[in-house]
Amino acid sequence: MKDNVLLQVSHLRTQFETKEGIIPAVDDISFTVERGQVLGIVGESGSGKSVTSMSILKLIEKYNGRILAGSSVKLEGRELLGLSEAEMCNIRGREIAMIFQDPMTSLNPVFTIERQMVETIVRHKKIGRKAARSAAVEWLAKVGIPEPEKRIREYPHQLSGGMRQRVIIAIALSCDPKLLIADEPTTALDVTIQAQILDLLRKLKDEVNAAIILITHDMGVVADMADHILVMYAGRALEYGTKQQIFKNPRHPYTKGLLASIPRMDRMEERLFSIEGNVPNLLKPVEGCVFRERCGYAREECGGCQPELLSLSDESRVSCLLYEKEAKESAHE
Amino acid sequence: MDRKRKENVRNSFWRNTVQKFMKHRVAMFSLVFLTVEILAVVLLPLLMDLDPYTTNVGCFSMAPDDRFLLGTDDVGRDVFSRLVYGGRVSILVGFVSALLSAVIGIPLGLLAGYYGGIIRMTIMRLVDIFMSFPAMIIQLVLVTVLGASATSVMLVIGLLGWTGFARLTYSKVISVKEQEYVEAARASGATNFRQMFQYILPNSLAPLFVQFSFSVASAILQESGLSFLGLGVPVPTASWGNMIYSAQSLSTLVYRPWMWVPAGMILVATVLSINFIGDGLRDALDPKMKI
Amino acid sequence: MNDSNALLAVQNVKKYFKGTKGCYVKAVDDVSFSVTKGETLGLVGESGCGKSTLGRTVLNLVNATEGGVIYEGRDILKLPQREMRMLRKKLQMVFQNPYSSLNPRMTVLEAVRAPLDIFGIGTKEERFERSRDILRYVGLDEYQMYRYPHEFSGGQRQRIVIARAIISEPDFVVCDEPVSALDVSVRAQVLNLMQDIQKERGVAYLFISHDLSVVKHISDRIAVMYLGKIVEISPKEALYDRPGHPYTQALLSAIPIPDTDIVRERIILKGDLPSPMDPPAGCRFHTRCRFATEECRMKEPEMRFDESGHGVACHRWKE
Repeated sequence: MKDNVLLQVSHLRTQFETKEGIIPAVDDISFTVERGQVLGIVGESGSGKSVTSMSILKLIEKYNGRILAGSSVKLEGRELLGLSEAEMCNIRGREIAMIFQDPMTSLNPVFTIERQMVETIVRHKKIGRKAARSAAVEWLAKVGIPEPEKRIREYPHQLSGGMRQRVIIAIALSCDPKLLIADEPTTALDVTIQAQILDLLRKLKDEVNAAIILITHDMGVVADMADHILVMYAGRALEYGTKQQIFKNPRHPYTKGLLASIPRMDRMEERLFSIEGNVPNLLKPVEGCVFRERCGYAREECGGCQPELLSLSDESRVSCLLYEKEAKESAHE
Repeated sequence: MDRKRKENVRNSFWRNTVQKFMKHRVAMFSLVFLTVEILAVVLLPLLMDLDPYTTNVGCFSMAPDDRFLLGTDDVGRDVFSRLVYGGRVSILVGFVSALLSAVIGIPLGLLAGYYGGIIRMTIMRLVDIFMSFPAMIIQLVLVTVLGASATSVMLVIGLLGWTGFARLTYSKVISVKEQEYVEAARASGATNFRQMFQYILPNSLAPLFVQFSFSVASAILQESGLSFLGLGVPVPTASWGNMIYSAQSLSTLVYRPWMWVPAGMILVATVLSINFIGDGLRDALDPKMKI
Repeated sequence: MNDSNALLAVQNVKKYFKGTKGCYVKAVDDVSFSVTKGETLGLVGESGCGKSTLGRTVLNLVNATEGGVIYEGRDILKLPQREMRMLRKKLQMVFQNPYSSLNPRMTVLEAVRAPLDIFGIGTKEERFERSRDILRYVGLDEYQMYRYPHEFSGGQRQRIVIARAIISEPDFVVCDEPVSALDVSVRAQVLNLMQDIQKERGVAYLFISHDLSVVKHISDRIAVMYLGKIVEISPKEALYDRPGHPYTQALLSAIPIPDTDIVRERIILKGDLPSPMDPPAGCRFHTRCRFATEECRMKEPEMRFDESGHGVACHRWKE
């Protein structure tokens, strides 16, 4: 089991310094990703899910962010947080590739697809331009772009949104990364195009044997794609589990509420369950559990501090005092 | 009820704006400076025995001493008195002409931006025409026709300065007009007038405050230019402009700085503080800026 | 469907935008439907299908190229500006982005009171009281009334926008993607609020969204739009149980369901949306349709209705 671990993130804490104060965007997040697995990180805006992925790649300094001491991100046992910027450049794109939400902004509008793809491949795989070009065409065909020989000479604006996202995926996968981080890869796309892209990712996942971290706010998308799910809220991990467990037997009140508040295609309901209140403002330090103010089960003890992630089984952890007893029992067994 | 009223007062727009403005140190300092200056030019002549016109025979170009606080000019007039009286003219010309420009330019820009089409064409072409003439020459001609006086200087500068306001308002309005809240106002049944003055104009004001402060400054300078050519405020009336232009002679520039340095310094300080006040107002009027 | 008890009937509305090189973008192309009192008609479609333009055209916020919208026996698209303005009291709109649809320089109270101010309804005190009551109704405290929009979260702002839309007691509100910009946990609050308002005040909604699951939840009937045309319109149960148009079928199957047990056959559509500048001849969907025949390429299908009021514009429906 252990040697199968590709990425290990432990006690990751990232802060942003702004004019109004310090924002603890990610607060003590730990998780592992195994080879060939898909980890879905779900959360609403401000939950810290994107910051987590940016922190893994050390891409947060330019936004005045800071990863605090004590955090650790290990890729195949190698600590990434201590690496220099130059060393990180060889990791990014080569070993960990990333797909962003907006396919327009992650392609350079003034260069052709060919130039952008060939440059990336040449840089990371150290092969000649000719070989790189044929590899690029091959990848475009693989991601389902018709007439790749012709399309490769076009500029990003000549492609539709779905096509652009396919190009991004082709670029990301063309260097055989070990880990692919997909940050809301389909949010900007229409449902029918989203279905195409998810379908593509699912097919490619088996082919390239890369692990995927899929970041999204859409529970439907993780249900479709993920093996394990990490639920984040206000910078904290509230629950971690297998997909089946999270959907069949959600434990944290937030996860429960979230699932119940989504209108379902497969059911008719008169009225939606709704979580009262709003997402907390991270500028004001939260006392106790971050979900306390909106939680129907909140008790006095919840005001103390954020509960540890309690292990309920090998693959199920929850940060909620309701499960203290259960966790103790499972520890005894 | 009491609490409600308290909240009401605390959150009122103007009170908020004033509070925010007061936190803006530089702007606040500038405001104090400008107020003191205006009070000085208005009140000092009433309190002190100031005489800007008499030529003191035998006291030409005298350096500052007990009798003449800032010395005398080349025809023997008291520089300090002229500075105070000149301030009256310069500040008045600056504000009145900038105000005139704004009053003409802002509504025209608003109309052009809001309605578009033929109205926009007409107004913006008019702006282009006005801007393509050399302003100084028109000013000279107009002043010649109207006769040189403080009033005609204000009119001329104000009437020619509106194009800047119109352009700026126009460009801001066409972007604000596309905002959803303007469409929302229209969907709620707001009249064109209400859309323009309650939704579009308040959200277009910020750069106009800055433009206004520049306009005041530029009007003061233009008046100086006109005075220099003998077409501004006619002699012997003093203005900061015609005092500075006494430095045209090399010997005054080099050997008799008291004749022009005080006017120059006060002019720079005034222009700067007006600009700072403009900045401060712009920030204070933005509800998103935190106190 | 042209029933006489319709609150608002949209008849053959077209909206063409002038594009480059003399082409026209047919954003809305010959669309007809009606909305009855107190019902919610959902309008779904992907980006660029013209659903937002349709919503604005119905309210006469953009000028229609052709067609009419009958409300209270009059074609509102042909009303003089003044009369149209007075009608807006009864026909309101909620916008997609709660961050940009509130004037940043008006307090919440002023924003919500604006429709009353515009139409001069009531005295000053009455307006104040009505605004306060309606804000309280949508869940805002009195002390928050004098704050500016930027001090509120997205969900609260959308409540304010809704309060503004219903304060003049409209019969009909066009809601353009009202929850798309909101977080999942807040979305349910706003949807519930909108349902409560409908139940208590009998307002009819035209609910525009790209999210089929949200539309399904809130609507009584649903219209599906593709490239400027309505391809299917139906009571919601029929649409979800027996989608008639191949596009609707694909759309329904494309939505990921937050559940792990349900295994569905997914219909993955080929290719991209064609350009609305140059829509395909015949049926507009034939380039991506699994069932397309020669007829579909040549002839544009008419909307046909069955006895339950389920209408589909497809040559091969019920084959």
